[in-house]
Amino acid sequence: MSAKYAMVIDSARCFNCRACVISCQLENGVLPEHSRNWVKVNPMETLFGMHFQPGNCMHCDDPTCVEACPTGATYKDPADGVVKVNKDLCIGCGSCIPACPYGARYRHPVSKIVDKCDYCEARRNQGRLPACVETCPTQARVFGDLNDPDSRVSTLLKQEKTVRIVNQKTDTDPVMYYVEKTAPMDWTVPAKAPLPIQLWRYGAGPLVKALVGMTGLGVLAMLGRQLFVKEVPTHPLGSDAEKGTDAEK
Amino acid sequence: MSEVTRRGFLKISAAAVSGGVALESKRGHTSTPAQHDNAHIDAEIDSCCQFCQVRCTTKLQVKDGRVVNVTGNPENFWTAGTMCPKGKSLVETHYRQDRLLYPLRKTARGWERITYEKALRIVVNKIQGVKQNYPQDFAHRVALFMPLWDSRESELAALMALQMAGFPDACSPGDACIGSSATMLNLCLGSPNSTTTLDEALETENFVLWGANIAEMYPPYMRWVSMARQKGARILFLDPRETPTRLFSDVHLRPRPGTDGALALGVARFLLDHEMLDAAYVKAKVTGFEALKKAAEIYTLDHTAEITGLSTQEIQTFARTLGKSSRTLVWLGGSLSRYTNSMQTIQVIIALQAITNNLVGPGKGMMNVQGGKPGGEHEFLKHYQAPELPNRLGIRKVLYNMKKGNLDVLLLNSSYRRYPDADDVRARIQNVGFVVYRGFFMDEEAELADLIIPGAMPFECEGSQYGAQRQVVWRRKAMPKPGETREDWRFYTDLGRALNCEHFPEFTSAEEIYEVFRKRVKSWHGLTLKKVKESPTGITWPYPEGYIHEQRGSMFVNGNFLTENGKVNLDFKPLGPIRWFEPKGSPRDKNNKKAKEYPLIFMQGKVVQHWQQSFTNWSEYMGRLSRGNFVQIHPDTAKPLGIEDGDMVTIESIVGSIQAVAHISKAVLPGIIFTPSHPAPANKIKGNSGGTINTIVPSYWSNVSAQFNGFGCRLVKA
Repeated sequence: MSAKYAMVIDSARCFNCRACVISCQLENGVLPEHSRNWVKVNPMETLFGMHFQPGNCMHCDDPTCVEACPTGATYKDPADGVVKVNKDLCIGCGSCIPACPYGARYRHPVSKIVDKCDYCEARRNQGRLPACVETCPTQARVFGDLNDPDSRVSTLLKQEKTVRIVNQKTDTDPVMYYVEKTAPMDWTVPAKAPLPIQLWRYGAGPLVKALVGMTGLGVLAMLGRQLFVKEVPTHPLGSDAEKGTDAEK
Repeated sequence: MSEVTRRGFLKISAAAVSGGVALESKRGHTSTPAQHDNAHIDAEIDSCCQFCQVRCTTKLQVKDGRVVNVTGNPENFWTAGTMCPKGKSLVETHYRQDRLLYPLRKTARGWERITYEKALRIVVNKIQGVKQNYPQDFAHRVALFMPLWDSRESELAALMALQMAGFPDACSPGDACIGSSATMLNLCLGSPNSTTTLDEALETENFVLWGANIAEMYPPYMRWVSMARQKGARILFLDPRETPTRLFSDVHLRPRPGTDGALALGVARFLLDHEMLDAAYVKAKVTGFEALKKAAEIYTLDHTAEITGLSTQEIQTFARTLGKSSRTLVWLGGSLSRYTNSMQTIQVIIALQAITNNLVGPGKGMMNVQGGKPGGEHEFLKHYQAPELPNRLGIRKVLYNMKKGNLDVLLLNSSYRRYPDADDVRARIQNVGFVVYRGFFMDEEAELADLIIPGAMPFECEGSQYGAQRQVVWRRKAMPKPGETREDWRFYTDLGRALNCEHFPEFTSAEEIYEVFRKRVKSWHGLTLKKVKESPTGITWPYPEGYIHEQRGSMFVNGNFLTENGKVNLDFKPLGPIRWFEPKGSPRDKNNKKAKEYPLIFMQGKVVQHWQQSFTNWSEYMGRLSRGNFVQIHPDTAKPLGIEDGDMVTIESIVGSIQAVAHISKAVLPGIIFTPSHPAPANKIKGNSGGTINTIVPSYWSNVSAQFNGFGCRLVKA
C-alpha cells in the first residue's frame, strides 16, 4: 500500500527558535536568503503574549502548483503523497511560485530551478525523519504516514481536534494539520495565475482551443459522414450520381 | 497577475493543459524523484556542539573532505537528537571566505603574513623578554584569557603553558558573568556544580526556573521542561520579561530586575512565620539558620512587594507553593549571577531549598549551567610540578594592571567584549605591550592584536568537552585544518615546550592529554577514552575506577554535603550578613545620584540564535534569523518619550550609548527595557552587526562577577 505522509503540528509547543529552518536549509542546500519552511509569528497581543506557528509545504491533495506547472515537473507523488519537483523537467519558469497560497516555493538562485519541501526525501530513504522534525527541541512537528493507522500522526488526528489552514479563495485541500488552537490563520494568499497561463486563457489558449475545436469538428463531421452516410461510388458527374442514387430508391 | 478563485484556477489550468497536449506525455507522476547532494555522503563523524553547556552530541556529514551538514545525535539521552540553530551555523562559519587562515603580524604598512613557526618564535621572545626585564617580578606581567572554543585539553594545555612558565594569571571567560552562582554553591554546599541532573525534573512537583530563560538559552532542555510538565510538575518561571519560556510555564512571576534576593527573603519570612519548613532537617543539616532568620525579619509581604513590584498575593502564593512542596527543583538562571547582589541572592535561594529540605533526593536540588565543569585541574598541574606561583589575580586586577601599563603580554583567546564598560577594556588592552590573538575572523579582538595566530575550528580538531549535566563528551576530528591554523592545545604545547622544554611534555594529541589527565585525577579514572567516545550522550562525572553505572541524580549520595561539617553552610563572615540591596546604579537605589537622569532599568540577554559575541555573529544564516540591536520598550514607557514601534532610538547610560530599533512590546514591564547581547560591529552581517552592548554597561562588580543588568539608562529618540 502506498504511503501518505503528513505533518501534525502542535504550535503551542513552538517557541520560535527556528532550528527547523536552518536544519532544512543545511539539509537541502538552501541559501540563507531563502527557506523551504517557516515559523509564523502571531501578533503579540493574542493568547497570553506570543504564539508561533511552524509550517512548510502543505503537500495539498488538490495542489494549484501542480496545475500551474507547464512542464509537469511539479507533481504529487502517489507513492508517498508528497508534492515534488522533478529537477530534470523543471525549466525554472516560476509559474508554480505564485500559484501556491502558502508561499512554499522559491527559485533557487544557483540551480535556477524551483525548490520546495519534499519532506527530506533523501533522509526518508535512509529511514530518517525530515530534518525539521528531528531537530525540533519540543517535537512540535510530528511527521508520519496517514495510511498507517498506528503512526503518531494518525493517532494524533484521532486524539486531538485539529484544524487546517485554508485560503478562502483557493482551497487546495492541504495535508497539514494543526492541533486545535493555532494562529495566525489569515496569512495565506490566493493562488495567482501566472502570465503564461493567463495568455493561454485569454489569447493563445482560446485560439488554439478554437482551432483544435474547429479541426476536431471537421474531423468529427467527416467521421460521422463516414459512419452514417452510405458509401457511394464516385461518379464523374457528382451531383448527378447522387440524384441517380435517390432515383434508385 | 490577477487573483483567481479555486474554480477559476482550475479552469485556467485546464485550458493551459489542453493547449499543452504535446507536453502531457511528460507529466510527472512517473518521473524520477529529485536527488539531494547530501544523500550521498562519504562519512558521518561523531562530534559535539561547542556553544552552550547542553553540549549536544552531533553527527557531522562529510563529503569530499568537507562537512556539509550537522545533525543532532538521536541517541543522546539529554537531547534525543534535537538541536538549536547555533550549532548548525558552524557548517557555514568554517568555510567563510573572510576566515583567518595564516598568522598575521601588525606592521606600519598593515598586516603581514608570516609562518606559524615565526609567529611562535615572536611570542616566545616576547615572553622571555619579560622574564629578562623583570627577573624578580615578572609573574603578573603576562596574562591569558582562556581558550573557549576548542576542548578541555586545550584549556589544560594553555593553563600549563602559562603556569609552567611562571605566570599565574589565567582569566576564565565565565568569571565575569556566571562566577557568582558556582562560587555560592561551592560555599554553601561544598561543590560548585549543579547538585543534581536534569532527569530529576521528571520526579519533581515544582520546577522553578528562577531567572532561567531555558527556551532561548538551552533549547534542547525544553524537552525536559515539557516532559516534566506532562508528568504533572508545576513550572514556575521567574523573569521580568515575557520570553518563550513563559509558553511552557504554569506560573510566571515578574520581579523587577535584581530583586530576586528580596523575593527569596520575603518567601523565607513567610515560611518562617507559617512554620512551613522542615525543622528537624534544619536542625540536623543547616548551619547559619539564625542568620537567615534575622535577615528575613524585615521582609514582610508588603515590603517585599514594594521592592519586587509583585503583588502580595503573588508572593504569598509562591511562598505557599514552595512551602507545601515536598519536591522542588530550582534552576538558577545565569541572569541571577549578573548583578552586584548576586552572591547574596543565590545564597538565599539555596537557603530556601535547604530549610524546606529540597536539596537532596529525587526531584530535588539546584541546577546551574556553569555547574557542569568537572574538577581535576589542580591534581593535573601538580603532577607536572608546575612551580609555586603567586596567587592568580582576578580579572579586575588584571584589567587594573593593563591600565597601569604593567601588563607586557596578553594571550587573548576569547572576546574582551564580555566585560562591562567594553570600550574602557578595549583601551586598557591597547595599553598592553604585546597582544597575541587566537581568533578566527578579523573581529574586534583582532583589531587590537599585534600578532594573530588563527585557531582551528571545532570540526577540524578533536578533544573532550563537558556539559551542564556534568557529562564528558568527545568530539572527533571531521576534516583537516586549513592553512596554518592550529588547535589551541597544539599552540600551547608548542609554546610551553619552547618556554620550558625540560618540563613541558611533548603532547602529540588531545587524546594523550586526556589520558594523562584521566590517570592522574581520581574522579576521572573510570572515564576511559573508549567509554567516552562510544557514548552518544557523554558520561557523567565523577566516575572513579570501578564504576559500572553513571551517577545521575543528586551529587550528595548519602545526604552529606561536601562542606567541612557536611552541612549546608549559610553564614560566611567575608560576605557579611545575609541581606539584599538594590543593584548598583539602579534608578531605584536611594544612593544613586543619577537616578533621575537615567530612570529606566536596563536588561540585556541572549537570543536563541547567538552565543556570546563571536562565531554565530559570523553566520549569514543566523543573521537572517536575527534582528540586530533592538530594544523592547513597554508602551507606557514609550508614549511619553514619543517613541513609536520601529523608531531608531539611542540607549544611553552613564558610560556610553548605542543605537537600537524600538520594539514596543508588553513583553517588558513599564520602566524596564531589554536589548540583546550579541550584536557586534565588525561582522557587517545584517541582523548580527550592531553596537557592542557592553560599551554602555558601567563596570560594577559583586565579590566575584560583574553586573550586566539592573542599572539606570535612558532612551532618546534618534
